[in-house]
Amino acid sequence: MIRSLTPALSPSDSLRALIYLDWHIFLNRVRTIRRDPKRLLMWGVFILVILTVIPQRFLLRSSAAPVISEVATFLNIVTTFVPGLVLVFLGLKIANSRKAMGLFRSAADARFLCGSALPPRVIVLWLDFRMLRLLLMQLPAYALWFLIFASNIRGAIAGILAFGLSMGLFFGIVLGLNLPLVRLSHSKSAVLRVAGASLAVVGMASLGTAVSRVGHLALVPPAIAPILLGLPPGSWMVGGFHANLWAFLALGICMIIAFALTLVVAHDVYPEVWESSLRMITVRRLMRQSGGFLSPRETRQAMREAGVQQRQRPTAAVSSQGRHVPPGAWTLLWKEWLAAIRVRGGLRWPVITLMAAIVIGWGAGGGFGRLPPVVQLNLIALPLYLLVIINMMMSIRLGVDLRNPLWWLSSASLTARLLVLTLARSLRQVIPLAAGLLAAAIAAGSVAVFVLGLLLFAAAIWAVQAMGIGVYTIIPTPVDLRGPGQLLRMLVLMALLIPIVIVFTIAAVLSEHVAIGLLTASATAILEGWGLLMFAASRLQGNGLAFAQAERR
Amino acid sequence: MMEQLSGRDRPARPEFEVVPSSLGQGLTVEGLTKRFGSVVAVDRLSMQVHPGQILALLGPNGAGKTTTLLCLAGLLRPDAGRIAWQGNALGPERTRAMALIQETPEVYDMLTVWEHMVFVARSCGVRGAWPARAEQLLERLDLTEKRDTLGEALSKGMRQKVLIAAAVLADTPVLLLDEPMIGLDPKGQRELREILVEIRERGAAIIVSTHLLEYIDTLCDSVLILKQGRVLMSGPISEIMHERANQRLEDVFLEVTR
Repeated sequence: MIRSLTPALSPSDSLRALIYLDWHIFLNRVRTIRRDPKRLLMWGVFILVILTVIPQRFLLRSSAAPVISEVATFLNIVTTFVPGLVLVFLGLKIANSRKAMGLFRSAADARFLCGSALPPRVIVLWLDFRMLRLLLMQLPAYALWFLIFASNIRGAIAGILAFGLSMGLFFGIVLGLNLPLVRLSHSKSAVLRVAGASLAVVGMASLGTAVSRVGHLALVPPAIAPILLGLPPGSWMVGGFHANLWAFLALGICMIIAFALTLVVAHDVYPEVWESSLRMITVRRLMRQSGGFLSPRETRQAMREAGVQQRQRPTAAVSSQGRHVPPGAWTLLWKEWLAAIRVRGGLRWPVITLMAAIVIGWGAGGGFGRLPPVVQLNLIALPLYLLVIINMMMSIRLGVDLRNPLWWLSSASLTARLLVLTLARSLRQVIPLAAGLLAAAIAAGSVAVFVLGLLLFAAAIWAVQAMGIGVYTIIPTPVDLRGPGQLLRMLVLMALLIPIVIVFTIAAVLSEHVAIGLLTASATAILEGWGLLMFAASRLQGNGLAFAQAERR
Repeated sequence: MMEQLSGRDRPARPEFEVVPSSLGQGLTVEGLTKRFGSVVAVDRLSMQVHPGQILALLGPNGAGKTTTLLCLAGLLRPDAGRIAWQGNALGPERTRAMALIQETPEVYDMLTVWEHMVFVARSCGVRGAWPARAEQLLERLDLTEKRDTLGEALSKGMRQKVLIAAAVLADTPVLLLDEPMIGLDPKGQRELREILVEIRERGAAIIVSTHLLEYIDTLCDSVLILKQGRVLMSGPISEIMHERANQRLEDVFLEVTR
């Protein structure tokens, strides 16, 4: 019996099959959650937070209108940067067109969708739609911000809808351009790189204009500034945030054009979709196998086995002569330094970060004093929040060291070694931070900016690192990206921050000075960090291998 | 006809294809080439697999076996070459002709085994009494008890079986299997061999990429040995074994890929 090719299904039959797939995946997900409600733990915490915020909103509505207006000022300032950011994003996307956005979530998509009789155009549009839906699933996370910032509940709901529609249309444009750009990059790679770079440069100019406007600096001629700040599609998105119908229409037309281009190329894009999805498929598979724990070495190996193209890593280095190696626990500082300079690219990224910190510091310092107080507060609070969160999210693992016999041969105390380790890891962030703060202090003509800022940020970074090690000895797993383990660990870390916040509040209220509150909080953070390091050392002493093995599990 | 090519005289393109006497029948691959940057993963590979034949694709790690299968399945774009089924050149639509079961089999986490069968039947346009056939397949593969088990709860071997059941149900003319025995217990391996023989008898062309040589001579009809993307040897197994009466296939493989 000789078989021929199965004819492609009609679009209506194809849609029915895809709806069957989606609907049953949804049903089974609901059933799974019903059987194992722990999967809803994160949502439970989120809803709890929302429920506690709503009464505050009613209170603010009646008594704190000035705060709302200051917040609105802050949001208006933030939206000034949107056109530039969007253009830079689009420029980079066009310049890197070969790296498409992966649409397959698992190899099952490749097997069951590509290997079916469904027409490729229907499949590609459906994959795009699924990606858009997944992106919009993030929207409830923004709901909290709207509830905090909006002047009333109705305003919050309208804000969420306008923001969601605007973002959805923009992601639709990006998704629609995804595959046409990849196909185009095969023949017009250089043209796309030039076009992308040009767009990014225009975006940077727009960002510069926004900085100049916010900081009241006369860097851009007044005739050009409005043009640079009103460039589409970012300006349409801002219009969308304010529920402007014309803005939605413009974004909608762009999205339709982008998807029409997708339809043109969709009959032959499976190889591109597969190649761009392979990395994500491999990472997801690895996470499922290892319960979220991904060591770089295992990830690299899995990528290699899956055929994901990887850059060559250096396999040899000039050995250090070891003439200036500090003794005792401080040897770890030397070891971390060697690790830092031997990563791919060497000191290139640290130097770029340092330069960027100086530029940002100089810009912020120059205009800082002229900004509204709420913006000043956010400019301090947001980076601090980001630093704390990034340090919390950074995998704090000691398994590699604890498994190494050399670690245990050291004559220095375990507490000292842990202290140096946390200092070394903190230095990677503290050095560019110090440079940025120094630039800001010079531009602002204020020594306090440098002294206070450095003390505050450095203490926060080091304390979170120390807390991470303390928590590691209670839950010896890295802070992964999902699962109740991550939530639990984050909650413990958050709980450890509570004493610092309490001390700050008491000190600031009693002294009626924020700076004294910050200084006292920094000292508390350092004390708490030191206590946690001693706690970690007592837990690890004589039991290190057990922790290393627990981390692997 | 079998030919071994060795040393520097080895031409880039094999002189002999698997069954050259009936070119145009079944799956024909001519001059398939795939490069990753400067690395040539598959170098002008040509082969033919007839309906009702199983071809063993052998080679050391990095030989280009998986890349070849991905190119055939339409998941990698070849830089050159022609792929045809029954004499008709295949373009992007070849994904409908070839079912690839990868080394790491993946199914939908949130679909049950039976729902996979339903989706395959619907999406591949399977007509007639497919539910009865699907039930039979599940029973044959010891999956009846797992009928309502979600994909995320299946072992690797079970996922492998679901993919095989799906391919058989869809009645795909060409079946490509990448290391299919890995992850299967001995009973599962035997079941798989028997199923592959049944599929072959139903007229499918099958390509099996593998490192396990012990079952090749009893299961496969022909063999193609690759190294660094180039064909070192190809031909019917019976001829290879006849010409090398004192050697096992393992010895032949090690000698050729040395």
